Amino acid sequence: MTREIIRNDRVGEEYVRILHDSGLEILIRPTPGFSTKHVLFGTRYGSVNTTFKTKDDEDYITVPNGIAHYLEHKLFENEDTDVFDLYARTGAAGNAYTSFDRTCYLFSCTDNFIPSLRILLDFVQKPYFTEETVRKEQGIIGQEIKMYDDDPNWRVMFGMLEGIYHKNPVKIDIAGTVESIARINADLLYRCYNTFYNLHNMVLAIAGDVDEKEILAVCDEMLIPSENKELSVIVPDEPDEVAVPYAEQYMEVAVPMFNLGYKSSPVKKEDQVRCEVLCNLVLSLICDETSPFYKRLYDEGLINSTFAYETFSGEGFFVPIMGGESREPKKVAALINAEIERCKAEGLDRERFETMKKAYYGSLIRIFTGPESIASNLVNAGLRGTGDAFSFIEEVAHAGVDDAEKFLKERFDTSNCAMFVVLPRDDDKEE
Amino acid sequence: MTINRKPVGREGNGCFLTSVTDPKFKTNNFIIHFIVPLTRENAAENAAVSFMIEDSCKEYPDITAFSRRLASLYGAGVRTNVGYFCDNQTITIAGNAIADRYALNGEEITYDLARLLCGCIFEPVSEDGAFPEKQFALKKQELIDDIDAVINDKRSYSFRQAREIIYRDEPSGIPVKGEKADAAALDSRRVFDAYKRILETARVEICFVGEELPEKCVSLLTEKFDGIRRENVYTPENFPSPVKEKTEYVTERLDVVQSKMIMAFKYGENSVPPEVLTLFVQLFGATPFSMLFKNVREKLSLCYYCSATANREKKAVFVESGVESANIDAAREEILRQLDAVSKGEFPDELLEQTRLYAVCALKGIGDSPRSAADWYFDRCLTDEPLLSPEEYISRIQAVTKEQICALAKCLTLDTVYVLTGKEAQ
Repeated sequence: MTREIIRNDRVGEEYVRILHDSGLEILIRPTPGFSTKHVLFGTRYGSVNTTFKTKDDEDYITVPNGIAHYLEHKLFENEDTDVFDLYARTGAAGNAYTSFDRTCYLFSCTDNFIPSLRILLDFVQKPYFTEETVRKEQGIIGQEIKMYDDDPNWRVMFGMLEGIYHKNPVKIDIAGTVESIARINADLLYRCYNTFYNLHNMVLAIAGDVDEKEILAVCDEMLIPSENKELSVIVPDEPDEVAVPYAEQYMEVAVPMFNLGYKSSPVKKEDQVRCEVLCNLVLSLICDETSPFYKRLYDEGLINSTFAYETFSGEGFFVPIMGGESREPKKVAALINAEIERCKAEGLDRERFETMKKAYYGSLIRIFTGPESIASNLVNAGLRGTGDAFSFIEEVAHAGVDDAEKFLKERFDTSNCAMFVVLPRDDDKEE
Repeated sequence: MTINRKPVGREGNGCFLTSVTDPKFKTNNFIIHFIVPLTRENAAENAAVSFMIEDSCKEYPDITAFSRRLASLYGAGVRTNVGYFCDNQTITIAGNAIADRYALNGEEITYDLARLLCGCIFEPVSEDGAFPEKQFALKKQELIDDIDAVINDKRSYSFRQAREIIYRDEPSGIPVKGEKADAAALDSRRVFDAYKRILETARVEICFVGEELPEKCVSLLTEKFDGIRRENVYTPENFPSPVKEKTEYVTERLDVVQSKMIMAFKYGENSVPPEVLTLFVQLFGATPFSMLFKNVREKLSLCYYCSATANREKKAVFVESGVESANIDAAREEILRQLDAVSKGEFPDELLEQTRLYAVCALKGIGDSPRSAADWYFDRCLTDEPLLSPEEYISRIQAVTKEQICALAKCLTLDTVYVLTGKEAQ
């Protein structure tokens, strides 16, 4: 076991990083004065990890879309009991989520921290699937998929991703489709579990008024040592060009909604934080509320306060996105592209660059506010597998406007973007 | 943690400040609520005021200047909101920023944020007794879009629709931002008049939660509220919702894949202590081991979600569910069966104790989040116990008996069943 203290003098924060003999990375941040303890147990396994092999496999296997999320649901059911019944005995609030590149099991509690930690470590390491229990879950997950089908914000996001990517599984709903989940069975779940729920591929993050020695005693007792299986995951080769530059769908919405994304090559793991920071700074300079461009669109009634941007990035994907409500989404897209080209030609606003860095710094300080956000930040840093929980703060501090301008030129290709629009049903009838 | 409550400004002017300070917090948060009557005539114009004061003031007169000021305060945030509070409407403006000790150049972030909020509240951009026409036109459209946008989220939409039926002819049944037609009829002078009326007559509840409240911020707020004429200050109202003589069933059809069902129960004139209501709602349907979750969702797979909430002031309990069209009737019957089981005490004692433990844990965590702490004390500001702490409430939760839970379940009457379903189910 190795133990180190990761400290950042810029914000006066520190946490403990332990590489446990079992292979698990454990991150602990004591927060005296807080009643809440927040814990996440995460694996680098999300909806995009559909093609993979370990050193024990001869060749890569491709599994149905939505299986990571399905596995998350099924892990809550032990052979003899339901995990929520176990948490009910400690008072902890348990939950889990699956994203594109990770699955996390979490709980919050104020009392009975150690018994709750035992529950978490136990059930995540103890899968129990039968054909019958797997089949039973199809109904609930099918309903979840249908619920998201009614969500225009969800549809506008995935519609845009379907336009950006030809093959990358990031374009598929995290929960899969009703058809894909019908192909999931117990054997496949065990195969995925044994591949990705290896402690070498996982992180345990804890924040709260906790005792490190107590935690390690529980970990020593409960963690089942794993052999490093040299997991290899591949993302299908993706053409450089977007798949569908423009598409639309009619739904029950009041005002048209759009997402506009720029196809950009995936970034190396070690560049992930730097690129995300630069991308967010560039986006804020181009189009956040402090920009003259935002004011122009707003004053002309082309956008409203729902207009927002984000950097969508992870293993095998990187897309700067802008979107919101607009009665003239195509016109807005054209103006955004023109503004990007203007910024490339004339350069970014250097004075505002420093202000935006200050605002970004403030938003990152807030992460260290309470146990929940601290533990989430720790698990994100651990699962990222590079840098530490202060990497974003350091990258913001060191970001230069020249780097941002270079980034803008390299990653905002206005001739290679995809737009998806959700239109009101009434428009459908009028046409 | 230190909690204080005191009047702000002249005695009897209806302004109060509750402060919750703890060195463990790394941010400072001001939440300023203006409580006004909720009426069909005024709902939209009051809502429009919140849009007008959100992102500008005389010193920073447009969104660009205002946003740059926020960015320079290390990404401070200012947001307004319009909401229900008992049978009243609240216009809320909230600001938050990192604590002064994190400032890289010794800036007084908290005081500057308080100044900015005071700018929004007391010195909005105006021209000849009205909001500037161009700015007003944009904000008015935004309000209209916002009212329309409720349909984007089918869960919120169904609750909004159900609310009008559940609270028919009561202030709580009025859409909190008004109707689209009311918003469309607004003009800038009328909304400016509404702004002045709110400033002069609303009950004001200021909540500060953070690391430390600088005294100069309190002085600033006092000076500002003393600087305006405040008279005929509103006394917020609340009435329990009357129970309908006959359950009302309403079905609405839209192009949706998943149906939504809202069942509203009321307990009318019955008196129920808040802690009994808290535990009942959690045991019935607000935890992942509640009667509704375990039976309606997990055991029978009838709903994707099925959860209970309550409105203490209106004496109402709601069950919301996301359900496949084919299962609507079965889900409704099963929800009623579970309620009947609770009323008969047909649940293990262990479930009550687990629910109690869950509720206690949640209450203990309230002081860890500035927003939760602010909501907790605001929720109590009109009661006889405005400073009742979560810890004190825990001791009441500990005393709730199974008989009290059963008695509450027994006195619930099914008032309204609203269903939003797909057109193909017709």
